[in-house]
Amino acid sequence: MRLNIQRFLILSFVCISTLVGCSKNSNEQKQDVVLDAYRMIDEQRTDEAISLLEKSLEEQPQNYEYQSVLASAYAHKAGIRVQKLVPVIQETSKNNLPGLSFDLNATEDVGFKVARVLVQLSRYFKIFAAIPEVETQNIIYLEHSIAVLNRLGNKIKKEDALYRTVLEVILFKHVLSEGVTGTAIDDGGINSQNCKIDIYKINQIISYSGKLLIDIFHDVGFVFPDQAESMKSLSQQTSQTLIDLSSAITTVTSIDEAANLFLKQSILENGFGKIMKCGGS
Amino acid sequence: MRWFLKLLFFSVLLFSKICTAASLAFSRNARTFELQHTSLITKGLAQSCLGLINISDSLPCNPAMTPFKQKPSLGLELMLSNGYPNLKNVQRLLDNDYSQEDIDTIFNEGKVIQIEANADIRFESKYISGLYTPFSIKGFSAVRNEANPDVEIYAIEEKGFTFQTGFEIFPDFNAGLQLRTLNRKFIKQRFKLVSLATPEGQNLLKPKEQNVTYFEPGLVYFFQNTWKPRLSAMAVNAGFVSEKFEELQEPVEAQFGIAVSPPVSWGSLDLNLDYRSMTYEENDLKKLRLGALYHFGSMDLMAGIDGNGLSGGVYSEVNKFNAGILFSTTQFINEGESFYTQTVYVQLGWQI
Repeated sequence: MRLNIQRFLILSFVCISTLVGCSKNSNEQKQDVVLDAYRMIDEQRTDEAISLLEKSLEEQPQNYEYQSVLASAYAHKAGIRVQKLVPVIQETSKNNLPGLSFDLNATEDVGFKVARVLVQLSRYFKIFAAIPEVETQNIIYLEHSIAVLNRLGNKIKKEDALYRTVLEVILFKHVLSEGVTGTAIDDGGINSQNCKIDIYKINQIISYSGKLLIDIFHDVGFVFPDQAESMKSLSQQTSQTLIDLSSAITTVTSIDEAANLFLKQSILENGFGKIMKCGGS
Repeated sequence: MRWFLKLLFFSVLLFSKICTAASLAFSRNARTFELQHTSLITKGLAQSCLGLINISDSLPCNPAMTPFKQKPSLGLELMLSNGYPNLKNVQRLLDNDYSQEDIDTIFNEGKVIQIEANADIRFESKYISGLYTPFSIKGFSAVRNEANPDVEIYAIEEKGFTFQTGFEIFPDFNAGLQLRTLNRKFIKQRFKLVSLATPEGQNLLKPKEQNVTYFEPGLVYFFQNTWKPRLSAMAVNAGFVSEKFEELQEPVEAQFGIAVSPPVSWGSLDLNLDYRSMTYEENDLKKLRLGALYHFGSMDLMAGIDGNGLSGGVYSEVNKFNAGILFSTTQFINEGESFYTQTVYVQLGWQI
């Protein structure tokens, strides 16, 4: 009996140990790629993560997870750490965004119309202060990250759409902060530094970022269905505004000094100044 | 004993190759499982305890062992694992009374949080034994991919009673029945952190609640031999659940165990090999658990190994008081090949 028990136990252990080294199924392998990529990203080996995911996508081009993680890897390479932004995102999502009116049909001076639009937009821009900036040389990775998410098309999940929104907002901020640059002017007073705003450039940047803004509205509407209608309306208004701005650009050249002053004060008082550089600072 | 030492050596060597994070999602603590309420000694044995006749700090794992309790006893045990600073955060999550700061603490400060805290009041006798658990909390969270954090979290609070009874059907063949009834609050999710800002995400951290009543029969058969070999079997999780949740699977399961008590010069030694699930997600092979318990005087030394990791600890009784410490480890694949997550459990108790 003793011998039999010994043999039985030995046999049991040997069988267990031999069988335990089982092979992985395809789902485990898929997860391994994702887990490996996560690990590399967290260990700041972002290039390796991108390489791994690109290679895996060659084998499985339609793999949603790989594309989603690849987008985050490119965002990581751009220097984005969403973890630090989550409180901001949550806070923003709890408060409805202020409504905008792009009605440019009123009989007011075009310069004031533009100023009013910018003032309204500035309410949105207040939250930008909490959004990090991306270095110019890394913007290409941010744009590529958004492009990877765009490839997901209609299959995109809400969490990834929200992530794309965050990336778009960061890109939007970058476009504005790099593009909306005033010129420091010494006006001879006590507080002698003044800032001359280049309305042409602002107009150009708004036009350039218009598509981004529409994409953001679209994604916000997708993620928050209760805001879908208002976001759709905003998208349409933004689109119309861009057309109007484009057609009004020649008229804007006649903006007088008073309007320019009002424009400057309005946008600064409403927080737009947080995204504007003047004289390089 | 030589053959056994060889066997143990090779088993540890081979088991250690699988002591990695088994979960596809995340590695986790080797000895804390959301649906298992176990004592320090049981954890030390890698939960291979179906064939154990007596466990110093808890009820037997198999109710068929109840008749072997010769002397009635009453005891209180308190157990705490490392990670205890997060206990309040986990508790607030489970109370659905958390703040943004709690969220930041759990998901932003550190990538892995693990905590287990239990309190048990136990009564044992030859015919019926009972365990009241007024407080039991287990929590785990891991955050990965700082670019777009992926989070896994479970937090469970349980309160309830366990009763056991057993009797000898035939010579060397015992049967027993365990009744478990408990109230459970839990959160068990995996999600992208940004999801918390979506409308759907508002419910991700909302605790769910269920009441369960399980009837769990057990059997044990003793072979006549100096090594006291015995075969154990038990059916668990058979009963009623107030509400079933997809993320919290607790299926009926048949568990089996082989145990021997080889004679040793001093003290007593129990060797256990069990086939039982802890997460109900393991493959069959990873349900195998191997444990050794050495009892000498008022001291217990335990060691265990399974697919989740290694564990070892000591438990001792002095007069009416007892104390124990357990160390467990498992490889955490998210942190590189050489990093092992380690957990220490401390248990203090009193018994008469």
